[in-house]
Amino acid sequence: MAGGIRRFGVRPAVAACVALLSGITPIGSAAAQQSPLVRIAITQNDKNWTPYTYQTGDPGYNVLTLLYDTLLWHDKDNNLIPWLAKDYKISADGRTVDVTLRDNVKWSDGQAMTADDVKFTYDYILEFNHGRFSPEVNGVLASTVVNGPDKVSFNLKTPFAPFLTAPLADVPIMPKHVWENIREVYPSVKGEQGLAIGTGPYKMVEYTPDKQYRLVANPDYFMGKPAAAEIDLQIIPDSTAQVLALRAGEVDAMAANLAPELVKELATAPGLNVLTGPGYTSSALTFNVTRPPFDSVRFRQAVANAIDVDGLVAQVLQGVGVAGSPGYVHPDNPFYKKGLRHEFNLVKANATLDEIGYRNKDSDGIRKSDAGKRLEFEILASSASPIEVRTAEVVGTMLAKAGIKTSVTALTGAAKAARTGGFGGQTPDRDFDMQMTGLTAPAQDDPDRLRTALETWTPAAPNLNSGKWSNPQFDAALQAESTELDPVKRMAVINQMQDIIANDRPNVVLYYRNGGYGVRPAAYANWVYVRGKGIVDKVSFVAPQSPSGTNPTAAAPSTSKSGGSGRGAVVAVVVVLALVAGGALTLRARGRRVEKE
Amino acid sequence: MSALRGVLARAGQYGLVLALALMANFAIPRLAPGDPLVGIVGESGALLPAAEQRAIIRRVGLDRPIVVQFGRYLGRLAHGDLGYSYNKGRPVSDVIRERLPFTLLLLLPAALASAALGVALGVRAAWHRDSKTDIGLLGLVLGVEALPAFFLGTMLLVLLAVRFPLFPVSSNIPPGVGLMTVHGVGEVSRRLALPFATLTLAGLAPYFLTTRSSMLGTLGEDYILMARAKGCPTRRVVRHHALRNALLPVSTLFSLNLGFVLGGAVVVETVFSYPGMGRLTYDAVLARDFPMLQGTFLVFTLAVVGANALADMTYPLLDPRLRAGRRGIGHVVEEPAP
Repeated sequence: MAGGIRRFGVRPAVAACVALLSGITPIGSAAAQQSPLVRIAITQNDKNWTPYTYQTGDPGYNVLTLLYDTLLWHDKDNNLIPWLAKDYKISADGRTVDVTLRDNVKWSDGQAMTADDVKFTYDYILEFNHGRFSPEVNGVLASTVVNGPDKVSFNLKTPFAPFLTAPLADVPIMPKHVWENIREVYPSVKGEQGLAIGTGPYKMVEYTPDKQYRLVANPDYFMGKPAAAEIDLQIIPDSTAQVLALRAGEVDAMAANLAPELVKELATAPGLNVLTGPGYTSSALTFNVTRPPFDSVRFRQAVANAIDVDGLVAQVLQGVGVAGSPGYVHPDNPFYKKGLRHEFNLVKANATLDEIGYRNKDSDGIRKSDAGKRLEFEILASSASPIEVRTAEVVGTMLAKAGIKTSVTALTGAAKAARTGGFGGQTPDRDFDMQMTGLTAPAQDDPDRLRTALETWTPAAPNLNSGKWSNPQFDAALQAESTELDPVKRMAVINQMQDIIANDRPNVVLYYRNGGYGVRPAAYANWVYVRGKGIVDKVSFVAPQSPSGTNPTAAAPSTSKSGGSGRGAVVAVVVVLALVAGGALTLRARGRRVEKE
Repeated sequence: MSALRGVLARAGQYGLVLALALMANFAIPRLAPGDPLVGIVGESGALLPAAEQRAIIRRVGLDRPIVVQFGRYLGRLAHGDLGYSYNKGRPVSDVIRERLPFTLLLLLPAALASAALGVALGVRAAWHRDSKTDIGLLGLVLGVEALPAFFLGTMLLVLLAVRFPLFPVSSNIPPGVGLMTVHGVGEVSRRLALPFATLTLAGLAPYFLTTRSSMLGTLGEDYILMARAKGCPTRRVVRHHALRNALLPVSTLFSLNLGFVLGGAVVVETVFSYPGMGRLTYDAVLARDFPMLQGTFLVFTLAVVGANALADMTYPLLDPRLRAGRRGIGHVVEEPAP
C-alpha cells in the first residue's frame, strides 16, 4: 500500500493520515516459503465445480483441474507427463494402452482411488454425454478393463494418435462411490450435489454461491505438498473491478487474461507483475459458406487477402499477440507448418474481386455484382467481448478498402448462438454472413482437435463448424492423422491439413492473443506460465518449480491486509451519515441565515 | 359502503395488473432468441449430439406447448414453488432469499438518501433562484447526472479504494458476516459505503429538479407572501408553508422510483461485485434461465404494484384535499395520482 501511495505522489504525512484513518498499516514482509493464502479473482460461479457442472473452458476447466486429476498432464512447456498414471504403454498395433496407477492416492473424502474409478469414469462419459469429454472417446474407445487395483487397459477400436493428449490428459477421473448413483447429470436435473470430490492438489472446503470458493491444499498430494496452503477464488464479475482489487491488494491474481492495454500498466505498477507468454487461444473470422457469395472459394480468398492480420495485432492487441496462421495452428505449437504465413495483399484482393464479377462500384465505392447486388455484409460478434467487437470493426475498415461494406452486430451468447447454429437442439439454421469465432487453448494442443471447428457438421455429431464448411480431403486427412502412429508421417498429414485450410479458407485466423496474467508476487511467487495456456494450472502449485515470471519488476514486497475494519467502518458510517444528513444540515444552515437577515 | 366498494375495486385492479404481469413475465423471456442449453450444460453443450440436446430441453419441460408450460408454472407457483434455476443449479427461492435482503439493504437507504439530499438541495436552489448558489447547484447536479453510473462508481473506486484505500474494492460481503454483531455491522457498512454513495449521487437529479421547480411554483403563491408579511420566520415559511405543499410531486416520484429500485442497480452491482437482484436478473437473461427470470420478475412486479398501492394509500395523508369524505371535493378521490 505504501508503494501505491508513493506512486501517486502523495506526501508521507498525508499517507500516514490515510493509513491511520483507514486502519490499514503497511506491512513489509519477506516472501514466505509456503504461501498461506492465494486469492484469485474469477468472474462467475461454476456451480460446485464438478466435471459435469463446470460451465466454461477458461477458467472453468482450468480450476477444475486443481480439484481433479487426469491420468496424464503436462509440464510448463506443455509436454505430456505421467500424472495419476505412474506409467503407460502403447501396444505395437496402437490399439491397447496399458496404464499403471500411482499407489496410495486418496479421494478428498478419504477413500482410496483405484483402477475401478478409472474404468468407471471412462464408462460414465461413454454413457452420459458430456460436450467436451464424450467426443474424445465416442467411436474410439471400445472398452476399459481393470487388470488389478492399479492397472487399467484401454482397448481402442482403431489406433488413435491423439489418445494421450485427449482423453488421457483431459478427462478428470471421477470417484465411483459418489457418481455411481447419479443417473441424471444435468441440473435441474441434478448433478453431484455438495462440494466437488476429487484427487487433486486442492480440496474444496467451502462454496458460497456468487461470493467465493475456498480450496485447501491436500498435504499428502502424490506430486508433493502444494506450495500454497489455501486458494480462495473470489467472484468479481467486472474486469475493471478485478484490476482495481488486484491493485488494492484484495486479490493476489486474476484468472482471466488481461486486456492488452492493461498489460504494460500493471507490469509497472508497484508490487504487481504480469506473467506473459504465448496463448494458443485463437480468434477467427468464419464465413457462412452456405450463403453466396461465401460459397465461392475465390471470394473467400479475396476477403482473406484484404485483411492485414499484422495490422490487427498492432491496432487491436497493441502488439500483445501473434498474427494468425492461415492453417489455424499457432506458430509456437510444435505442429505448426513451418513457413505458412497469411498473405495480406490488397492489390490481389481487388484483382480477384474484379475477375469474379464484382467489377462495378457504387458511388460510395462498394462493389456490386453484374446483377446489381452490393457486397454488403454483417459480421456477428459477441457483446461480452469488447476486443472481439473492436476486431470486427477494424476488419470492416480493412474490407472497405477492397470495396466490401460490413456492419458489426454485437449479440449476447444465446442470441448469437441462435443465429449461428451453436446449439443444434432447437436452432440448426445458419442465419449470418460472417461471424467472429475462437477456439480455446486446450482445444489446440493437438491439431486433431481442429475437428471440433472444421470437420463436416452433422446433426448426430454437431461440432463448432458454424460456417458448415465441408471439405472431403480435410475430413480424410483428419481420419488419416488420427490413426497414424508414426510421428513423422503424422506430421506430414497435419501439414497437409494446414495447407487445405489455408487454401480453401473456411475462415481467416486473425490472431492469437498472448496471455497476460496480473499477479502479486509477494503473496505468491511460484506462478508458472504453461506454454500456450496460462497460469491457472496445477503446475503453478505442485510441479518442479522454476522461477516464475517473464517480466520481473523490482516489486517491493509489500502487502496490505484489511486489518482494521473497525476504523474503516467508522469512516464508512461517518460518510454515510454525512451524505444523509447533508440535506438536513444545508436546509438548517440556510434557515438560520435567513432568520438573521 | 361505498368505501368498501372502492377498496374492492382497487384490489381488483391490482389483481388484474398482477395477472397480466405474470403472463408477460412468463412470455417475454421465451420470446428472446436462443435457448437455455448453454446455461444448463455449460459452454460444451454445443458439442452434445442433437438428440441429447433435445433430451435436456425435454427434461426441463421446454418442449411442451407454452400454454402447458404456463399452466405448470402457475400450479407450482400456487404451492409457493418458484422452480429450479437452470444456471445456478439451485432452487430459485433459495437464491432470491439470499439476494433480496442485500438488495434492500443497499437500495432502500440509497433511494431515501437520494430523495433527502435532492429535496434539501432543491429547496436551497429554489429559495436562491438565479443566484450563484442556484446555478452552481444546478450545474453540479446535472453534471453528476450526466456521468454514467459505472463511470461514477469506477471513479469512486479508483479514488477511495485504490488511491486512498479507505474502502474495499469488492463490496461482496464475506460469507459468515451478518448484521448481528458490531463487527458485522462495521464490515457491512464499510463495504456498502461506495455503492451507496454511487447510487445516491446517480439518483439525485430527478429529486433535485422536481423539488426545485415545484418549490418555485409554490414560492410564487400569495399565501407565501402573506406568511412573510405577517412576520413568519423564514425557516417556518420554507418548511411549513412552501415545502409541504411542494412535496407532493416528489412523493409521487419517490414511490414510482421505489418499485424500480430493486432491479435498477445492475451496473452498480456489477462494478462493486455486489450480489443483488439486478445482477441476478442480468445473468439470468444472458443464460436464458427462465425459472430464475420468472422469479426475479415476480419480485419486481410485486414491488412495483406494492409501491403504487403505497402511493395511493399515502396520498390522502399528504394532501388533505384528497381525503375521502370531505364535502365538496369528493370528486378528487376518483382522480388517481398523476
